[in-house]
Amino acid sequence: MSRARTRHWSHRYDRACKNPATYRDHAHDPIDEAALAQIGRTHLARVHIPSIPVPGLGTLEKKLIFWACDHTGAPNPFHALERLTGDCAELQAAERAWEAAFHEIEAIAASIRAAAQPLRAAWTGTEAERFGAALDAYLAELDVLAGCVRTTRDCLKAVRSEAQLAESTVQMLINLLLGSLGGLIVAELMTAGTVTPVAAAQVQMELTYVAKKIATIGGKLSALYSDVIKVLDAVRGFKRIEAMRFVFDLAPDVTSAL
Amino acid sequence: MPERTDSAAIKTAAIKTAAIRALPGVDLAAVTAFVDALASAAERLGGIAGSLNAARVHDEAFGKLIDAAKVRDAYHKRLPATEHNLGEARAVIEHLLTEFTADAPLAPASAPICPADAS
Repeated sequence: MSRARTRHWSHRYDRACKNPATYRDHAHDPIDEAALAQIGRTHLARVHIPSIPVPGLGTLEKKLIFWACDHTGAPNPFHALERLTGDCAELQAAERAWEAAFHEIEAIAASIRAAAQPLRAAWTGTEAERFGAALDAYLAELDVLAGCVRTTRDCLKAVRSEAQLAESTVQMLINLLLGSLGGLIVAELMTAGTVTPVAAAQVQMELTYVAKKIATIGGKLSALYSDVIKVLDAVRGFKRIEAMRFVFDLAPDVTSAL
Repeated sequence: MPERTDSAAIKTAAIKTAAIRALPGVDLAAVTAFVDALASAAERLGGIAGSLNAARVHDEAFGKLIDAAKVRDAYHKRLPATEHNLGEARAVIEHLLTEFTADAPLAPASAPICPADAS
């Protein structure tokens, strides 16, 4: 399409408004996207425009750190973190052992109850009464023992869960901190240091946040530990069972005192 | 389950093979079933004490945060206490077992109330 391009003292849209049919004569040529892409492919293919990197510890970086530490003997920062918050795998293995013990004790109590039922139904007399009282007391103690074992499992589970959460949170905070510091460095480089006050303020704010978060985690763990210590210290002895060992030697009227 | 050769296991096995005491009005099969259940329970309680070895953790397992050492100490006390309790539970069952064997004597009227009184 031939088109006369002339310069006008008036705006080109004034003319277009007067006669809309002349719009095409006064408008800019539409952008040829295909030609632009071709120019990009021809001339800019080797030009890499980087996105702003925000460094953090992803899985790859973590593996790299483990590999480097294993091969150089350098101290592994993640091991240091584990030493701080605890060995979750070890605690989980112990937790499973307690859980298995709890289920086993429950099953033992159930099997004794089931086997005693026909015996108690048919057996009568003074000795049967003493036996019944003794068995009830024993099974009650066995239930308490199962409860103690379950409580130990629950305590371990609580400690492990909180330690794991603390470890993950600290790692997340480290990521955040690294991202923030990395962002500051990139920003400084790209702006030749002109954003220093703003970026520094931002980093300081994030550092404060991280410090507060770590303090919160520490406080939460400390409160949990305090509760767990109280529970674990309260180990119930089996004095009644110890006394019951001689239950069949007791006079009938003494059994009622059990 | 690992093979158990300790004295408690031998004692349980001996009781299990002993003649079952006849109880007035009770089917012998019911008594035998109960004795079997008690013997099995005694063995299983012994097995639990063994399996709790897996619950032992190293000193660093609880970490090094504030009060972690106290938690560790409390846990390390809890484990042997539980093992002791399991042993007690098993000992009581073994005593009950002896009551159901044919040669179990009935307690005399002048029997001591507790072992402390016997001394």
